[in-house]
Amino acid sequence: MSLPEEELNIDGVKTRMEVAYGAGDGDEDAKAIVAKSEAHVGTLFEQTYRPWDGELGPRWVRNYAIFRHHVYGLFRGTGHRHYHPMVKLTIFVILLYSLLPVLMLFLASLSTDGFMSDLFSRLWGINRYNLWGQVLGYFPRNLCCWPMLTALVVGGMISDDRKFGTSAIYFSRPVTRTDYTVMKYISVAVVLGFVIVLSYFVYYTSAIVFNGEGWAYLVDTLPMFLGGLIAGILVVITYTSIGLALSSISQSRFFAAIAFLGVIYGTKLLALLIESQFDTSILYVLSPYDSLAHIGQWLLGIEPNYDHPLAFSLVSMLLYNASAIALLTFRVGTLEVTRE
Amino acid sequence: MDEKGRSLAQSVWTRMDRKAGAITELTIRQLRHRVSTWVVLSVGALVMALLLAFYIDNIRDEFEPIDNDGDSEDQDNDGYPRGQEEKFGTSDWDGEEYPGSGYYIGIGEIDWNDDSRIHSGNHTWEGSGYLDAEWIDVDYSGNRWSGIVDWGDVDSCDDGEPLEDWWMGWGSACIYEDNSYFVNGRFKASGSVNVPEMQYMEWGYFTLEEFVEPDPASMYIDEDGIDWDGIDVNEIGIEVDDDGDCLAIQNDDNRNGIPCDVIWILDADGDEIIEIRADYNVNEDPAESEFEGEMSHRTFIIGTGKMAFVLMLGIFIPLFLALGLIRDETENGTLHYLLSKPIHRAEFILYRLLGYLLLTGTYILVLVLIMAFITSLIAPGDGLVRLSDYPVWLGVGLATILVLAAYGALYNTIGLIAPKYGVYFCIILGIWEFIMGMFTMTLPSSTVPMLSVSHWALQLIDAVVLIAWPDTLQYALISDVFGMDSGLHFFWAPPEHTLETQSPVVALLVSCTVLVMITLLMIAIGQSSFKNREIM
Amino acid sequence: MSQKTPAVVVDQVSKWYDQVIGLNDVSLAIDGGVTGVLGPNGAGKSTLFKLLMGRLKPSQGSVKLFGEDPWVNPSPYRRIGYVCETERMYDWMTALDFVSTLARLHGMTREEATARAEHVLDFVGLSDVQNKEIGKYSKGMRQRVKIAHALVHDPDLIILDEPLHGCDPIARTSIMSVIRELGTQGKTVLVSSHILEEIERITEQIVILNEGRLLALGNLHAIRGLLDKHPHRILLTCEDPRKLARRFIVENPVYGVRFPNEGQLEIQTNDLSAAHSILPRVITDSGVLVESIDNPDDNLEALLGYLIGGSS
Repeated sequence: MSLPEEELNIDGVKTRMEVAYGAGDGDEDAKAIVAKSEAHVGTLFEQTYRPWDGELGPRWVRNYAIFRHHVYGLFRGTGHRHYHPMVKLTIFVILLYSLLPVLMLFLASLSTDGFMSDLFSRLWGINRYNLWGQVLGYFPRNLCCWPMLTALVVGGMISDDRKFGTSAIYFSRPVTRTDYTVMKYISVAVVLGFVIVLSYFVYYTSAIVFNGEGWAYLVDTLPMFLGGLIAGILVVITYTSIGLALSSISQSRFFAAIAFLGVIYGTKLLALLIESQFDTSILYVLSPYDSLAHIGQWLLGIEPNYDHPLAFSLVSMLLYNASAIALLTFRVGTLEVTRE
Repeated sequence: MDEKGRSLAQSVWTRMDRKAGAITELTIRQLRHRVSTWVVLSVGALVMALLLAFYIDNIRDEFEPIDNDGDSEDQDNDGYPRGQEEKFGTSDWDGEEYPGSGYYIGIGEIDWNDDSRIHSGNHTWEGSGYLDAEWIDVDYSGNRWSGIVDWGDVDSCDDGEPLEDWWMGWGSACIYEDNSYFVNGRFKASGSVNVPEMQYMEWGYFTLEEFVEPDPASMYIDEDGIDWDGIDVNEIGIEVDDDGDCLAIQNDDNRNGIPCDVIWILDADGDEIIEIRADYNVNEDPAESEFEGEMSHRTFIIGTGKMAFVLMLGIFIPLFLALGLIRDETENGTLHYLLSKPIHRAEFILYRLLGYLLLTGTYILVLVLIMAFITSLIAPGDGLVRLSDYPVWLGVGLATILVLAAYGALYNTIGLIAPKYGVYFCIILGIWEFIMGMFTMTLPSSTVPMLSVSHWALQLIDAVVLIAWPDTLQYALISDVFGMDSGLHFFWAPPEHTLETQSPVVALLVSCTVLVMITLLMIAIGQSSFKNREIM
Repeated sequence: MSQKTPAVVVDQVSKWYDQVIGLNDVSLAIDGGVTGVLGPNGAGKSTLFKLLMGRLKPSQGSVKLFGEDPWVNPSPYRRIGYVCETERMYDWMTALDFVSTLARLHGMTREEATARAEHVLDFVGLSDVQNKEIGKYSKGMRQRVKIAHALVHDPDLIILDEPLHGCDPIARTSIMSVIRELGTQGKTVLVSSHILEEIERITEQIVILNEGRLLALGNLHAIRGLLDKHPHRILLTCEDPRKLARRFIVENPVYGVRFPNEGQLEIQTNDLSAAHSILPRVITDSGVLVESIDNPDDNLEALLGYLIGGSS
């Protein structure tokens, strides 16, 4: 016995299927099919399978949902990827710390004491070295901040999917593996970029605002700024590639995080050891950080403190990115849609 | 269970042994079955291989002697190195002046206050005066002097006293109507010279040029070594300026009244150099093969021990291997099998850590011994195998194993206290340890790094180095004082925590104790947390 | 550890997790034979077992195994074998390795442990595959390995948490026979399940838990007998239910009939065994072809329903 169609009280215009595949924000208000009228004892609902043949949302909208899932989780508690409060706090602290020069510039602009403001602007003002240091300085940025940030964000990005089999949630929907990979990549890159590049941008613009600089200053410093910006974007891209590749080869988010730190610090330490022992900087090509730093020095027009040619660092950076992305696509391509 | 017929001797202790054996064995087998273990361990081995490759490459060409004071160079390109020119008293800035080039010997002079102001003869002259010449060498061009009189361009003299009433340039002459000259400069002539008041003239002759064999540049490298083999302080002799370049200037930079010497200031026991005060140009060019070779070998061992073993392997191996020792079991639920056996949870932690330590400790020991063997074979020195290296390498192994134990216990405890997100603390902690390790190397006396594990391990290596090679202190001082460019200063400093006894043994014991205490404390915290943990 | 103390004594034990009560004032004493612990999911069976195994600390009351508190002291485990719910095992180990490694935790030497492990694996019927890795085992084989590890030290008390869960009928039968065998060897065995039928095939001694409360304790049939004052139903599927109903309604134990669906007859009775005894006679007398006889009340849910209904 089946209920006639009109007795089914369907509330809401959109169905849950539409919500899953379809577009956009505001789907929190959408309702699923709900039979409102109380079922009488002994009533069987006829189970008719009606394939959903509505319009798919555009591809970018579906992909945006993946992006949203990862990025919104940093700001909102529910409905998105869960980040532990400790992780959120750490990322927040890193962001604040990378904005420290802005505060210093502000204080300097308040100070009327010539000596103090001079000192402040020398320590924190805009120049090639400070711009370089903001994104690429080893201590503290690349020793304490960026690698830890990357490790925390990248940790569970793909390895959790492998561990819990949640990749099935993506792949049982009209989402290709390319979409999946690209959106994961963009999610990580946006979070990193938000901290690394945005703080750099804020630092530069705030220096102009606080010091009341004019167009001439802007024209003078803009090439430097752009050089640093490119360097920052390269940092974001390289760290994201390596981190995601490591995340894709493991099932444990901790392995990914620790392995990333191992790659960054291990190569740096090894190269430093070789340099201080044997007086050759060639091994720095193994270190992703140092390759980036070398390129950054070139972009910002700073005298490099590496002996080997810039081309080596460029090739190293490209190789790191290429091999990491190759590994990532291979691993995602062969990801089984089960709990491994 | 006496009904099974076991004797009393087989009671508590043997049973504990067997349980410990079973759990450690299980732990090792478990770790062996994980891919990440092998990845981590082989990356570690790879790092060591890379270091060795650089070391071997370096040893092969490092000990080409280096000219520290630069006297083997030939600045004026006359074919004679500066050292040889200095011995002959010629200048290395003038290509015309070189050992064997003719040089001037003065015979006499008339200066401003001499009474007799006329001299005759066939000489080479320099100065100003009236010349009544029998013969003039008009082609004389000298060999090294400026101010040669140009006889092809002689004007007639003006009236009045030359150089008083009118001026005449150096290196020129004028002629009077009686064919006598007034000369100002250098010239070669035979005749008599009348020197006016307030002028001077000197005369002499040039020696014949003779050929002096140029010394090879290598003679002036390693020429003024430290007269001490670096082993026994009491064998330090009186340091002399072997090549005489200090004695030529009579430096006394250390102000003891004796030029060109070195003061070695020993400690109260007389077996340790506290300070070295050397006069400039003494001991400036010590022999690399004897001294710097040894120093760079030591620096390699210390640097590898500190950075590669303690900081890299010491921090990362526990992160990969120790964190999950109990946490993973809890997560998988396999802990239930183990805990349903008559074994105390506190014991369980201990045996798990033991298993982890056995695996990693063996790995570290093997790695250390391989490194020790290879480097001691190819290192500089007389013997085929440098036995004195082994205690240091073993000290490095000890430090690393203690670090592995401390971090293992620490990470394991954090994994127990905060099972889900403890690893984030571990990551932050790892970075902290890394930074503190770097601080310990650059600023060993600062106090903040004492809050880290790596600090104590690095201090332990410092202490072991001083015990096994007591003269490292001297080497460090010598390299500092004589400005030798070695990494020793960066990688090594005398241990800090000697409880004011200055004894490295005390420092070693202090460091070991602290590391063991950290380990035990962490195990105890882990145990008490685990004992009160309800396992779902 | 005197043999006189019962193997398991649970004295007024309550256990709560924050706001949720897992076990509510349960008292039990069990010694000897196979005891089935019954209850639906979430009734507190696993909580009870985890309290017994010292995994959890009782919020109130005390748990004693052979007179000792397992939370404080692991020594009673010497005489206990525990089969946990967990599915995960060390997949890379062979069964022999697994069992003998765990046997060594009892203080056996390697040789003793191997010998004992071979013996128990033979006992649970895995001797021919004992050198295969556990990862390649089926679910039933895994359950038997788990049982083997619990038996390896010849314990006096064996606790099995859902040993039949997820097994196919063949594995189920062999595991049941293993458990029965243990019971006949005079060991104290605790088996939990949420399926009455399974327990019925193993033992008659049961403990029923629901929502953390102890509902019943004792012989299954005796408990059911105690419930005779409650109405029972017998469901017959037959050609002509009305004809059959006329026959039944005059019989003494039957006090009512219903026709829930077409071709079905439901007899209501106060005395189930009496009703069952008259059943064959009445059916043959009537000459109605009966397709099936069903006891809709003879399952745990019905039993629980009665028990809860009776207690309220």
